[in-house]
Amino acid sequence: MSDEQDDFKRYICKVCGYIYDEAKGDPDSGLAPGTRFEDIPDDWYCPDCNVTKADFTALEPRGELADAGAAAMAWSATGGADDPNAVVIIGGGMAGWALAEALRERDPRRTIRLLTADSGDYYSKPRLSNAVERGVAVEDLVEERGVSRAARLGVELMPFVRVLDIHRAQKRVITARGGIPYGELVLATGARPRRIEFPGDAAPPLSVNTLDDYRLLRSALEDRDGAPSHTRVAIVGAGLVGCELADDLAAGGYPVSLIECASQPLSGLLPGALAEDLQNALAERGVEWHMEATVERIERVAEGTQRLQLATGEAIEAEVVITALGLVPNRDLAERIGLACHQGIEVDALLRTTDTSIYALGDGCEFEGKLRPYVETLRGQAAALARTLSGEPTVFRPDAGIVQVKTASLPLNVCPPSAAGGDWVEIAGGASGRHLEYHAEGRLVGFALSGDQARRVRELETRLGESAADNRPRLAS
Amino acid sequence: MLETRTQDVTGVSPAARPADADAALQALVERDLAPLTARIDREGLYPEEFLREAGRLGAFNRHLASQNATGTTDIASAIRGTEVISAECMTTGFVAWCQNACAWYVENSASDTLKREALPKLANAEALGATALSNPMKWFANIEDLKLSAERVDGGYVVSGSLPWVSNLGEDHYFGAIFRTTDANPRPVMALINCSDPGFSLTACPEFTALEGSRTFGCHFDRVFVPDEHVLADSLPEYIRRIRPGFVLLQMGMGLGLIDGCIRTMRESNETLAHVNGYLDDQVGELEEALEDGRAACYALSETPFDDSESFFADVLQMRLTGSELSLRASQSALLHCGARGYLANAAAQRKLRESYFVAIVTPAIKHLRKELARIHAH
Repeated sequence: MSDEQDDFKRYICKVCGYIYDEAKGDPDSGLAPGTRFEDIPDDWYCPDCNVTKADFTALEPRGELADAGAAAMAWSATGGADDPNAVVIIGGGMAGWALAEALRERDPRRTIRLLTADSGDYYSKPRLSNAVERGVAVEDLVEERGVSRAARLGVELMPFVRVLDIHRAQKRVITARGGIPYGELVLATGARPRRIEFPGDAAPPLSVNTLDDYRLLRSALEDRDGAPSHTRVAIVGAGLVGCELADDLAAGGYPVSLIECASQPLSGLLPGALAEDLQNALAERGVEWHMEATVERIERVAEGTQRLQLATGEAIEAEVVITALGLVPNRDLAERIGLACHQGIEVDALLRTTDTSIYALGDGCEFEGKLRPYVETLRGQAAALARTLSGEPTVFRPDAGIVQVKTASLPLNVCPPSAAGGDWVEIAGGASGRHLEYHAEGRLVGFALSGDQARRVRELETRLGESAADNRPRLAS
Repeated sequence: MLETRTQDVTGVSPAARPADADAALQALVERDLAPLTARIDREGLYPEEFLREAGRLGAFNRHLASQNATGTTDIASAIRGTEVISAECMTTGFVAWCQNACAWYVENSASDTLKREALPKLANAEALGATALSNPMKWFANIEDLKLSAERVDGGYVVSGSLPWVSNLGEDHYFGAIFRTTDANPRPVMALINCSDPGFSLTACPEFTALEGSRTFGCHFDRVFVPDEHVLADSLPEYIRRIRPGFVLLQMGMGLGLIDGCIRTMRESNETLAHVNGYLDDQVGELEEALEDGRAACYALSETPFDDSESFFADVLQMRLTGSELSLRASQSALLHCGARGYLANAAAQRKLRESYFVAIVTPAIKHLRKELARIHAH
């Protein structure tokens, strides 16, 4: 066809997409090739759908090709993914990836398949609560794209897949992309933030547990006009994440209110003296504390502004509201398929669930009756489980459970006491940091370090369990 | 990070019904439908008597909590019903889905008039119904424009425009249509239309390559009056979010049934040709396993038909895509299993091949699904 030469035009039926080409005409309806559109009689009908000329319009080719080639591949079925001996990992957070990496190191050949509801991009979750002060953009938190990491480790990554069911008898994971066979299955399903529905007409508060959550928070903070000082932030819950975020956002210039129902931050973890130091350090950054306070309602008061009504009678206005009320293990899937669960998914010393082909690690699992949602723990679990899955059954030996609090204005390392009935003893203390030890029956069974003392954590860790009858001067008790 | 689906179960798991719930429907398919399948496919015979009888057996009320004996939104059971029909004849499975979808619109609407007057008849196939949402679904996905527009008049709307091909239509059939209003507040509105409404007309379509018995027509609205009582939804976005998972999930009966039918055809062929069919890519065992996985996924998704989250709808779309891809694989393998005998003009294998392409192109088509999934998963 030579539009330029003959100047023939084409017209498209808006109803069915039939194209009338002047060069070709419509001989079946008596229109000879070369019949101009304007010369077509009004009683002519679209040969495909019977509408009249009035429903035709000049054809403007819509030729732009979507850049969809790669995307299209990702949504297609699992083709050929049918190794019945594969290790299938459900969850692409730090625990899932740590296991994939550790297992690949020990076994270069085993099929490892990792299923994740998100893109599988790798990021360090603790960094989500200290990226503002360091000026790190959200996309720069991604340390490695999921597809690149999978290629580097020789892992078959299935992104954007949620597990709908597991058929334990057939050893198949059921997804909307098809069934996936497994030899051994690992639940690295993590935990989700505890949420409370507050009365009032405000939108649900934000929470920060994943990179996708964090992306929403950063756009809520940064998409507003003006300096950070015009975006007030209210954080409900002064636990680990609440304190870290408050410290980081205050350092970034956001006015932060921190609301906590207990009488001190990180209650249950920090000895009183350190809690007070932390409170002072954050207050110096500009954090406004509301202790022994609970939120009764959250109302929308103006475009983009919410009011938190506290039980104390106080009211706090904020443009961004975050809840940080702790984590709940994701055990729905495990419960659905009948695995024993308590707080988390119950595992034995080999990290096995009550199905001997199914294991669990990370924030979602409960080991010796305890949840241990810490990075150090998941790394230790990944190392032990990688050995077990590569044919060398290895018991997971829990670490001391040291909690690192990355509040830049007062960093803390706390090893919660492993025995009760003792006392906190202050070994060193001053404006720049403290060193507290917990002594029970003459032994060192816990410690808490802050500020410039915090870096002594490894030294203290090696001394755990040793006699505490040392000759250091006791500065206070 | 991983999310698992919410546990608020509003549907019913497959175990809640006896496994032989479909025995009566299966018997009806064998007795009344099977002898007509070839004529339905090529000659345009419309399986009206079968649909009426299946409706009397309760094949089309399973997903309608207001109309069935259990009072539940049992999408999984509705999918199984369509599957039983589609395994024999996918044209009939397709019009069964049309019937289910039309009633689904009314069930979830705000119109008490339609729930009283039309829904009970649609639920037992005393009235027949269709879905004209292909164009609006493509409009939502930014693929094409809305083709119907409506003027506001006293007591309702006056609708004009044309839709190219809508199936399961007839003189007094119902269907759901979405039009754009031209008043001061232009917006999409959805209503139930009856083919006997004044100003509405049907025209024959060119011949299709399969599914000729689906009563597919061009629809022409020449100032058709739609009273306010026939409006299904005026606040369309919320309504669409409510009905769309069910709308797409109910389609899965077509693909699952088609795959099941292909496997049966392959089995029959293997009675004499197993020694050479073993060299083909997709074997009975693999496809059976994939079919079981697909059923399990569909039934799990059917537990929460009113989950209106984007992540749940992404799973539903992914399921639909997986079903289309598996349908193409299964029908290709069925034809290759049968060889020349499957290529005969009256063979089931070549018909199933043509039917499988319908599963893959009927809205939402494979390309449409991939476009939507790419949008949802993009940051």
